[in-house]
Amino acid sequence: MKILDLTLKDMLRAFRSLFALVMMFVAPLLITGLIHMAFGGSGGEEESFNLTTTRLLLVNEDVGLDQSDFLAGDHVVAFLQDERLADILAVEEVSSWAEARIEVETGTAGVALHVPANFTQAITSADAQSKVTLYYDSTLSLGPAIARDVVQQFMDSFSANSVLARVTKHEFEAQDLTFSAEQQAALMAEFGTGLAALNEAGAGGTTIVDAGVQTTNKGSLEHVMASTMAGMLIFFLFFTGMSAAQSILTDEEEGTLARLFTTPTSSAVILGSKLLYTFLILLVQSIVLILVSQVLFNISWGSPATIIAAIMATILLASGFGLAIMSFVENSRQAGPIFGGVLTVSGMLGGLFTTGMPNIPSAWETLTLFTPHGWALRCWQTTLDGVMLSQAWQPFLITTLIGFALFIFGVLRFRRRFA
Amino acid sequence: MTEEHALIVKGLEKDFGDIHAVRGIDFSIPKGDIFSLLGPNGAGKSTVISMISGLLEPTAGDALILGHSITTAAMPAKTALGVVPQDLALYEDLSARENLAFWGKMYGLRGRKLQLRMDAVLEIIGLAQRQKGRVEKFSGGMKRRLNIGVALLHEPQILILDEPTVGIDPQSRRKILDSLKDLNARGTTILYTTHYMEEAQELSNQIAIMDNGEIIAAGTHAELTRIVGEYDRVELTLDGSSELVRESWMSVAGIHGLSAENGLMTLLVDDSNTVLPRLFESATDVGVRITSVEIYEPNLETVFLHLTGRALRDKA
Repeated sequence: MKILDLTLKDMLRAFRSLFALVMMFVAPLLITGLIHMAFGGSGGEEESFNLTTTRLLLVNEDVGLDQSDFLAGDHVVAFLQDERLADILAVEEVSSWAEARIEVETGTAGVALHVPANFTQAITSADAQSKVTLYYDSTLSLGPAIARDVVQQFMDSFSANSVLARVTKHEFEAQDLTFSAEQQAALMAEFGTGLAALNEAGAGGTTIVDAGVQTTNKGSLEHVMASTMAGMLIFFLFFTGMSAAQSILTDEEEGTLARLFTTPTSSAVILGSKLLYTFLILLVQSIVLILVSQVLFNISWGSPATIIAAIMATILLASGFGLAIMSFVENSRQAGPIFGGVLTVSGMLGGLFTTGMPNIPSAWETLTLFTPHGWALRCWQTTLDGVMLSQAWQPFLITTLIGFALFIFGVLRFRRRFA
Repeated sequence: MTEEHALIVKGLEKDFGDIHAVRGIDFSIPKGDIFSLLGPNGAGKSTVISMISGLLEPTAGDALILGHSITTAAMPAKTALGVVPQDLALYEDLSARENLAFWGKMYGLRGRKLQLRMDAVLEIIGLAQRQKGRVEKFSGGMKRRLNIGVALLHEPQILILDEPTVGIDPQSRRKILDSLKDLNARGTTILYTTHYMEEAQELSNQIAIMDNGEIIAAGTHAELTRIVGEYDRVELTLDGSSELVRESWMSVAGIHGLSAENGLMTLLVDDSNTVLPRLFESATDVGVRITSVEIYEPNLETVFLHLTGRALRDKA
């Protein structure tokens, strides 16, 4: 019964502290929320993670070839107007290049693209040259870059075939065979038709279009949010774990710990209450953060069994880590800098601040294995991936073992200290 | 002897490495008495209190609290004690009532009994009107009173107070001393440590004077002052070097003790009327002027000076 009285007293004090409440609940949600907003996630579910759509004015003056209906400029237009790029580019055809430029200069359009009259001729001929002009607002980056890449890729396809046509012509001429300009144009026109067919079927330009589509994928935002929230959850659980361990030092300095030892209360109950308090406060923090983040950021945390396992493993690790670190600290004045330094560095090395980022180097991933935080993060990543506990129990076991070892180490040091 | 005594201390010792903080002390407190441990800071009083209240393990010796050994039956011994530590030991972010409720539970009080005891203690310490206020908003005196109140909740048979009046205003000190007398009148045995001889003198039936970890004298106030007989304590303020007069005064007949600190000379003399003219004369001889003279009847300060050659308050 006394152990509960002691625990409730500590919990009451913690929940009365505005600083503790902010660090337990507000800070992790706020940081994740800021990242959520930075990725455009503030406009509700339908607008989640939309890149700003760039208005592109296209002046297509391509006149094609006399001998063929093939118009490469039309293919450029069709390519840019593909519905899969609609979230990024709003393409409008206009007739005047000068007006299009003015619109870019006045900021009403982001990009203007000029396809010259000899465009088809240039890309179907071995000799002719054409200049496609991209005029854009230099303060914009993503929209013009995508437009440039799309056009570039489109033209690269033609250029490759143009080179092929030239080589073929050269070989024909070397063998005294005729390969007229008409034949060359017909070949390119056929290629263009084929390209258009492929594009309509969804195979043309897949690389660039798919890349664009992937960035607008709602699942990607959820992944970033979930990973970020998991990182914040772990970081702030460790923070609370360390704060809870620090309360032993605070009690010692306030004289209340010594006074407790003068009451008929055993030291085992006193230390046990601190451990129970740490467990309960971390449990409350975990549950609140998981539930609130689920509502606020639409995070799907995975199966209940895996979530419970991740919570338990992380709580044990966070409390063990806090206890072990605090057992080396003499007083709460020392605790402040150690607290901040150890948590920040270990959190950073554990990958808690980079968890939402793509393309993390494998060396960094390996480095995280040497920190407790890295293992806790693996538990939560497993949970978020929806993997069942039975299929990926290793990180949970390792996290629990590390937590247990740190916990025992900390308890032994504190027991010796208060013996 | 055990049944008549609330507390018996036998050969209690405490070493911290090479430092002998307490060197085998013995004393006993009859039930219903107030016993004061008087001594300068660093004399070992708090170490004795810490061992009796279970905070420190004795290097040797034992203490029996209502017959329970602090070394072999710590829990029943602690149950009989109410301990008021020298420094405040309260949760500042809890209210006065919440503090009392928590500490009451640590002594096993629950439910209605706890509520009644909290109400009673709040009345005793004069904080009934401020019981819902957070301790961090309290004045120093109010905190001191609450610090004492915590130790009264479970109606301990023995109350141990370690310098409970340090650093508080005279009004709060008066309230605390009156409360302690009142508690004692209701049968509570009190062990009180202080370096204020006036408090020891006012409160105690028995006084033990400690210095350097030892009890150098013990008894009632009357018994202790008898040690110095009819000596007067004379305090003189000098306008000049105390070293110069010190040597010449040591040879003056009728002086039994002399200490000099911060320009204040304290002397124990047989008869101040006889001795004082000689002191003036020899001071004039060495060119030192006496600027003030105070003469006191024998008291505990005189006893301490007589026994140690040092003034008690100088070390406070």
